[in-house]
Amino acid sequence: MLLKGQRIQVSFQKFVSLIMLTMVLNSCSIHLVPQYNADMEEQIKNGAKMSDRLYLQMLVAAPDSKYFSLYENKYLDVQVEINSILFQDEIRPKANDIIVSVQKLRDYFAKAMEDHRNKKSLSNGELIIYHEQLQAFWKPVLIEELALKKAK
Amino acid sequence: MDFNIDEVLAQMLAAVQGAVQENWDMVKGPASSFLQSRRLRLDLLASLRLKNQIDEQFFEDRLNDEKDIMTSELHAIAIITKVTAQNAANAAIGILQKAVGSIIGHV
Repeated sequence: MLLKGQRIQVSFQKFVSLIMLTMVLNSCSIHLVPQYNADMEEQIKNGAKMSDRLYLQMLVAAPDSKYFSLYENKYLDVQVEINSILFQDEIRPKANDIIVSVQKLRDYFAKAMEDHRNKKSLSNGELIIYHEQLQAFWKPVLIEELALKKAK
Repeated sequence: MDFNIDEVLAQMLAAVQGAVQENWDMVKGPASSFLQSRRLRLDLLASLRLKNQIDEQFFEDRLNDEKDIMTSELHAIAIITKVTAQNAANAAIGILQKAVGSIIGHV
């Protein structure tokens, strides 16, 4: 049987424990993914739009206007945009999955550009496939950033 | 006021279930969109090859690139799954915080 003084001491210990638990819980939230970044979402949309425009321009160009030299600067603009996205993701905590997707996009774009440079000109069949696959590489990158918006 | 751990655990479980349910659509939408787009791209690749608008080497190289697209898509699904797990865990912690907070309010 507890005396009055001991009961007060036990209640005080419970109170302190609860305060400490609250402090721990308040500082405790799980982070498995990076924080959403609105600027990054914009940059991804812009990069996807630039590569879309580049391939659509080449598709509608006359056969003698599909030479790599005519589009080299636009290729470089898209490449700079992808590199910038990758650079920012590389310094974001917990962004490993996103980095893989952007690296895949970067490698594919570099390959498509190199193919055009080597062949000098691409056929419409080749351009259609590059266009479709590039969009397919951009899509997961955008979906990843949009998913972060829903993280609580 | 008593701290009923069973009740709090039941509420935490309900919060986790709610968060997972809420985020299921986030996985379902992109996953079916990826599959649908892949079907269309493979159709296109095959049809351009049959019409001889792309050569065999180009066809095989791009078919190979589909593996990288799929890898990238799986990473996107992984991100969505992690967001779901994070939301569920934080919802459960929120319930516990609230329960402890209300006890302190009554002490």
